Amino acid sequence: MVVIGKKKYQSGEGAQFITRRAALRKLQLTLNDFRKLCILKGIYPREPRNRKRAQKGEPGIKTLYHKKDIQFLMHEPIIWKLRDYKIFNRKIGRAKAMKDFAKIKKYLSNHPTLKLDHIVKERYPTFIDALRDLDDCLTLCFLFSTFPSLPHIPRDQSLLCRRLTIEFLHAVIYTKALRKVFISIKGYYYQAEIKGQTITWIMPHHFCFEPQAKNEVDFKVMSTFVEFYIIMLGFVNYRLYHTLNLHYPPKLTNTGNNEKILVDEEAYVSERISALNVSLVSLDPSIPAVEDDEIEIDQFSSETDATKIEAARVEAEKIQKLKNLFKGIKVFINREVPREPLVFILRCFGGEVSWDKLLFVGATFDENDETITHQIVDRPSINKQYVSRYYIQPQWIFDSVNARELLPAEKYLMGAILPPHLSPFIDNRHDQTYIPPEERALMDPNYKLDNLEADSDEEVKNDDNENEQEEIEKKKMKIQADEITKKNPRKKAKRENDDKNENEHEEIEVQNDLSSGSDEEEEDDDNDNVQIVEEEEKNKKKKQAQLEKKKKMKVQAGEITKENSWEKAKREKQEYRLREKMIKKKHRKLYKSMMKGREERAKEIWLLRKKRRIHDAEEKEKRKEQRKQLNKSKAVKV
Amino acid sequence: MSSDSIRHTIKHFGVQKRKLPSSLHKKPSVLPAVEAPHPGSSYNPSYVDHQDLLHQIAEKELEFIKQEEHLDRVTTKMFKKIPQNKKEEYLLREMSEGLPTKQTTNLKSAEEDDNEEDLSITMANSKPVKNVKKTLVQRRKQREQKQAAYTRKMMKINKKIVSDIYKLKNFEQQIEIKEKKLEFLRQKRMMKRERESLMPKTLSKTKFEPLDPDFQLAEELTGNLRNCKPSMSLLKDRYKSLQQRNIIAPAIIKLKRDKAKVKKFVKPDHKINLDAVKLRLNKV
Repeated sequence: MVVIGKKKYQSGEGAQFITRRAALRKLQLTLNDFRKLCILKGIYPREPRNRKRAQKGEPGIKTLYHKKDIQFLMHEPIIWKLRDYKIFNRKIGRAKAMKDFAKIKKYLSNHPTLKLDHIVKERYPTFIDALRDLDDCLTLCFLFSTFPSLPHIPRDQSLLCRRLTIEFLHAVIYTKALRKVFISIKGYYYQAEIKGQTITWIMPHHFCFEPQAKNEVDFKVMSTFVEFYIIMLGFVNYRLYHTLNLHYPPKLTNTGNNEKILVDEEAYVSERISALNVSLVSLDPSIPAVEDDEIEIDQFSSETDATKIEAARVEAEKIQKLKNLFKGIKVFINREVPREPLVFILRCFGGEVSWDKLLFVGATFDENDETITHQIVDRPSINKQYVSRYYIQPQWIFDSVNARELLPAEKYLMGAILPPHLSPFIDNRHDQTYIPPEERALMDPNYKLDNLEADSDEEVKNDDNENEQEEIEKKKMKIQADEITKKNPRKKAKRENDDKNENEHEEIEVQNDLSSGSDEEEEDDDNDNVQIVEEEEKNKKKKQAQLEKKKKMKVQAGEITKENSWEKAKREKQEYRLREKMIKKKHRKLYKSMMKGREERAKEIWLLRKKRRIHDAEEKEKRKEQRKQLNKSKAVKV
Repeated sequence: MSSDSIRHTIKHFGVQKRKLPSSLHKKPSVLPAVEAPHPGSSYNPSYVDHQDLLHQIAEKELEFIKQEEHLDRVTTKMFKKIPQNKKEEYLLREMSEGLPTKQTTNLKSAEEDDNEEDLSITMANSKPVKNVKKTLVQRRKQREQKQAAYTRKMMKINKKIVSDIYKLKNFEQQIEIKEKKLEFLRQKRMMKRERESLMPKTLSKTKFEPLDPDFQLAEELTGNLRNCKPSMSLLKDRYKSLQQRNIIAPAIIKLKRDKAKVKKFVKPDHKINLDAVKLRLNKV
């Protein structure tokens, strides 16, 4: 008799998963088609929690998919297209074998094509979703735009990639959305912020194409990814252009090419557009273009922490400044410099750019234009130089963008050894670390190196009164130290915010509350005083009699309570200790270790600073002695 | 159109909306698509950053070498090396191990005779087993004993339940200990899951192998954009990134499909023997 009951793997994990082989059989597709379908639809293989059960007791490791995912794939209309392809290939093969060329032509003229629009809509229901997933898309498209036609990669794919990426760059230029740039050995890293989404992508360096080793990368798979991403990027571009009030297949503003009859208008336009140096036609000219709108930050934001609001405001201001970083700057790019990345960055921040006419179309002014302010050069020397412009190396632009202000040009002038190009993506350095003054000057342009160079010059001028000089220097040092400490509180606050420990947050809040409370009290006292004085003046003249009566219930003039600063500090310290004691037992160890670590780090920094100070002093002494000796020898000679 | 007719048309003529699997809008990995570059991978890095990068890479390489050495020691070096000339000798000796040689055969045959005799004795000793059935009385008594044992057991349990009331404190302690342990295990499991979320999952039988880190030595770095040298291909990096983010399963790429080799031959009838043909021609 048949036992009625549960069988193994009919429920639970065994029923949830399906092997790739079974999925192929179920969908009646070949492995290649299945791979393609999965990539297009965004269905990925899964790792089960219990592999043995998921594989229904079969040994080994098999590629598994969710059964629900495969059922979802079953409804996909492009499966029919894939089957059509199979039949189409068979027909073509047969016709070729029979040498029936008429039939071949007929078949080829109406070959089946995959339409992926609905899949894009399905996978990215909102525009923000698509933007969130743009990193991969852009990187691959930028990469494929540099490829020639290869087996497994159709030629039109790379051309389309090129067109779409250029269009995207135009949109970024128009919105001034670029935030960070970095030249790595891998390529140019860019980070833009569109609709609040940070998008990072890599643009490869412009080297000539090197064929890949075939057994390292599956070209077919990558090509399928690109096939989907092209459609997606097309949609994104369309949406972006329309939200920016631009004509979507981008159009040029000036079509003043009446001199020659164009052979190919489209080619002309696409070339100009790929030059990245023209502004585009807006969709509806009656609507004014987006100005550099000064959006005020909402005062009633949900954020309660004052320091955070302040930080956000400062950040917004910086970004506003960054957007017009290169405004009013006219740049000429020499021919040895990679044109596209530089033009893109300069135009993003409002600069005017041109290059050699013969290098690429779209040059707007020549090298001999006197109004050029900067010429970007990447060679040690140049024959003909203009006095009116800086000859500067390309890294200046990248570093200026990352620093969010125009850096002094001296270090980047032609032939100079460049300062290191630091990564903008690692800005949250370890909190308490010793930063040598040289590095600090690199990162923070406001910080001046109170270095031996400047001082030594002065010293040379007046060697006699060295003692006075030293005193002055000391004063300078003090002033600078003060300045630094003045700047520091904000930094300290930030640092403390960064610490994720809740205890500290509470402490800070409590401190803020305390301080604000005491301030209010003081103000109240002052107001009272003023009022009392006024009343007395009035009453003196008019109501002396009443005063006598009221002698019994006399009101004494209030005294301003003077707060002892040291007492206050003492009290605060006590309160702080109490608060420390309030920390829960389970957090106490953590808190202690944190405080200990902080102390140690501070000590380390102090030690390194001291070392540096001693070292500097010694150096100074040495130089002084040298100078003295020199002077003596001079005197002897004279 | 009335709402009823709309419903009807949509149901019978329109394209029905399918419910999408929730996984479609979830990313299969927490890793970002484009990872932030190491500051040492700049084309013109600061000394500290560059050294940091090189140090990281060197450490990884040292670990790898150590692992390799360990494997070598544990596998290859465990076996003795056999010189070529002795190989046959050893093989012969090994293969002939346990085979009856002339001296041993005589002894063994005598032993076998003894064994046969013993077998016959044991056969004789076996007796048919008698089928003994329990009487009704025996059965009753057994049943009663069982019943009594059960009641005794229940009594004991009841007694314990009553007395447990006085042990509440103890129980609480026990429960607390147990809960603490469970909490600890839960924490550990969470940590493990967090750690594993950054690792690539096993999606196929080929293991994921991360890309060799990209770096240039100090000699290769030129410090300006014009002389910048190309490094590793970006395409490979992307491909590995997709694998790492569990989007595609790692696989060994086969360039040529394995096909069964077809042996080709000419039917004997169709063979043309040129010499024979020449001979015949000469005769003619």
